[in-house]
Amino acid sequence: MRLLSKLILITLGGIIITTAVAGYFTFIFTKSALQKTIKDQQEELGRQTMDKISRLLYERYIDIQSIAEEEDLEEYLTKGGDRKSPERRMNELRFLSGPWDILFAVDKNGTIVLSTKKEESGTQKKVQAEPFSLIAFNAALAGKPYYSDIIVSDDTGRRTIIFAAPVRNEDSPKKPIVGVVVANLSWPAINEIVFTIPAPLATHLHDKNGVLIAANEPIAQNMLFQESFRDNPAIARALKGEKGFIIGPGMTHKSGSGQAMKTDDASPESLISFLQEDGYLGFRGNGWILSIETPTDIAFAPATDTAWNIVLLMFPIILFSAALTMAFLNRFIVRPVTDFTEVTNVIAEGDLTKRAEIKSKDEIGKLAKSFNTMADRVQDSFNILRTDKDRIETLMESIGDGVMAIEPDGKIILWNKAAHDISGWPKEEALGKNFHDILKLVRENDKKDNSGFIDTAMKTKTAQTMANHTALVRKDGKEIPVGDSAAPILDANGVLQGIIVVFRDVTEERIIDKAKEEFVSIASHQLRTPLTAIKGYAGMLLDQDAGPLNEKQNEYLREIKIGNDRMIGLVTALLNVSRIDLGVFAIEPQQVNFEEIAKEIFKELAEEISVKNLHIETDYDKNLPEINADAKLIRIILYNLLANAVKYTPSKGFVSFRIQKQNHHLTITVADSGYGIPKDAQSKIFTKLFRADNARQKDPNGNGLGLYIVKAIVEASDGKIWFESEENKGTTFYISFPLGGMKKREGTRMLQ
Amino acid sequence: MQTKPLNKKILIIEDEISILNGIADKFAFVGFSALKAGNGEEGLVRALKEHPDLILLDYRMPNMDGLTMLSRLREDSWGSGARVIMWSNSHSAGTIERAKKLGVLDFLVKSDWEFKNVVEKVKEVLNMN
Repeated sequence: MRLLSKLILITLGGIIITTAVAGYFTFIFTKSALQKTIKDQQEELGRQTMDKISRLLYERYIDIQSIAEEEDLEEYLTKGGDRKSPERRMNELRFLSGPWDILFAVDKNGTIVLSTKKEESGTQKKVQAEPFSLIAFNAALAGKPYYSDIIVSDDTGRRTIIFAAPVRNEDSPKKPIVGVVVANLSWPAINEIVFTIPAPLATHLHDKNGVLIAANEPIAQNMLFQESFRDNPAIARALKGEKGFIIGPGMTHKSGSGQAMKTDDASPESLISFLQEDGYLGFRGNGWILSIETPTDIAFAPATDTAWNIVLLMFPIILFSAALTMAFLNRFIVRPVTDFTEVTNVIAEGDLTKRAEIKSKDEIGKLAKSFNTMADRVQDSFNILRTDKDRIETLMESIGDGVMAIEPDGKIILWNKAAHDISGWPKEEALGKNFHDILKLVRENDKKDNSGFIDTAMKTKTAQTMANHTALVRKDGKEIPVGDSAAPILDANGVLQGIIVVFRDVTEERIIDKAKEEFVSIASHQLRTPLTAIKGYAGMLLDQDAGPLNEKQNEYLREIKIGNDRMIGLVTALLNVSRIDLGVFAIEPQQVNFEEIAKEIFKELAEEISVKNLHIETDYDKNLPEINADAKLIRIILYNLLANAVKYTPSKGFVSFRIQKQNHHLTITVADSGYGIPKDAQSKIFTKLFRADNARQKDPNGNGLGLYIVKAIVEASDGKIWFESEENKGTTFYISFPLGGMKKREGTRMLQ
Repeated sequence: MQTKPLNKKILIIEDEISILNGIADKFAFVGFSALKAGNGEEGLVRALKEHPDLILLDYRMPNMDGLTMLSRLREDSWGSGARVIMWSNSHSAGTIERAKKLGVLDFLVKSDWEFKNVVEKVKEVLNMN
């Protein structure tokens, strides 16, 4: 998942959870707080309403006492007299204060002397006829203003509260009571107050028995003055003097017929605030109870709604700030990371030059910086490696010889330009293939596979040379002569990693060699032809074919012959040397008996030996095997050494010849007691045309090539030659010759 | 000095005039009938005409070298049995190989052999000793 998505998910998740929790609690608390406010408000309303009622009643209470102090009334009740004036006053007062349903005055005997009710006026009705009024009268007569609870008036037949106050004679010193004024409160005044409270608040006024005396619900009107709501928990508590609120079942609900019914439960849960009348100043009240009830869903609706609204208002705000946060996070964290990732991608794709932009100093910036440093290093290493690789490739491609590298399984992993040129197989076609399919090496004569040297190199982990007369079959089928070698590629632990095969077109070489050989051949032929003629004619003259010779003629002719023979020997030696140098002399091994050859040579040298009276010793090993060697070449070796020994030993000296068989080789020892090789000549004794001074003295005819040729042949046989010598004491030559003999070699020429 | 004739014919095929004359003289001195040819072609003609007892054959010659001449000679019925000794200064393993295949009786290196020794050799080969 993308970083931004993760970020959004986490932020969103966090915000949603936080918001949900915060919202929930905000809602709860706000609702709770608002509900409290609503409850308080409702209570307050109740209190104010109750207050109004109490005040009203209090004012009436004061009013009746004021009325009781009316002079007209006082005078009439004291002295009597004209009724009309105080009656009129009373009618006035009925509206001026109050309003009263009825207002009447009673004398101290109980006779209603004045009344706003016309029927009563002047009838001398007794107050005893009205029980409630009587109570009022008696109370006032006792000297104190009186008020009743709600009653139905005897007089008017209407609900009312009776107020009464004593009328006193102010003039008299003791202010005796002369009468009582009684008034009936107009009940609508109270109702009015109750009705000021609007629906849906259901206001109920109960008397001290819990009976409903006023309500603002039209539907409750039929319940007035009937049943007591004393059992209602709110009312019950109010009756105990408590005030406050409960949440409980409402007191009234509509029945199906639209009539209000008293209920105890199963009516909508309501907020019911209640209180009991406290009175007002001097007016103690009747212990009435005011309750206001509102179904909670209506009452608390504002709370819930407001809380909801607040919470809902939160959401856009929170979402907005969340979006803002995420935008900032995106800008400062996600985007740098994305940009950075982009850069790493570009680099991973191969563009090592790309670098991250460092835009900030925070951890991301540091990361970018480190990354850049690392990328620099990688690029440098890469460049170095590439330079090296390029260099190696250039080297490879510029090598004139074909270079092929293969893995141990034979798969070609390297194929340079020269390999392509020589074989005709381009690199793309050669790489990855098994070399047997591409590099076809065959024997020139029978076209048999000749790539065995590669397998040998692999098996033995040593370098191997291509066999002579190997040809490469090109892609187009043409054959070209090739030469060179295979070498193993070993790692640090000596484990075979592959083989490098180098091959070159030797056509040119062959041609050159052939030309050289031809030249030498022709040269030797050209040199020998005149020498042959001289030899022939000189011989014939010496044979006296052209007539007899005198002594001098014989002598001179001998000199010619000797000189000529020397020349011939030199030419032959030079020819051999040239063949040795070219490496083209043939080796044809056969079973050779060294002893036999040695004995033949001794026979040839017999004359000189006897002339010089030399002592010869020979020692042939009893177990001397026949060696696989080229007889001609062995002969050359032995002849040279033995002839030298004989030549360079003075009369009466000795020459010994020994052949011994060792474990892996023959040791041939040729020793003489001759003139020896001077120290300063010893290092050069095997070089071409070298003759030590003493040797030249003793035999001016030598050509200085013999030992060079001997050494070359010995070494071509994988043998060794060395010597010990002291001037005028003698010389001993040693040859170590491998028992395995000489390896067959095809050469164009044989040594003579 | 003339010796009594041996009644043997020898054909010498050699391109070097002085050597040819010299060796022919030598053979004549000893009593051979010495025939001369200066190149392979001439030698082939004379061989087939004269049927010599032995042919002394050089290798390097213009107008047909010795071995080509020999192979041609062998195609002839008489030629296939003619006695031939190769007498040359230049030789290689290959030349000797071919010469052997063409049935030469010997191969002599000119510069190593005195004329008189060549004569001895020929006599030996012809069982004349």
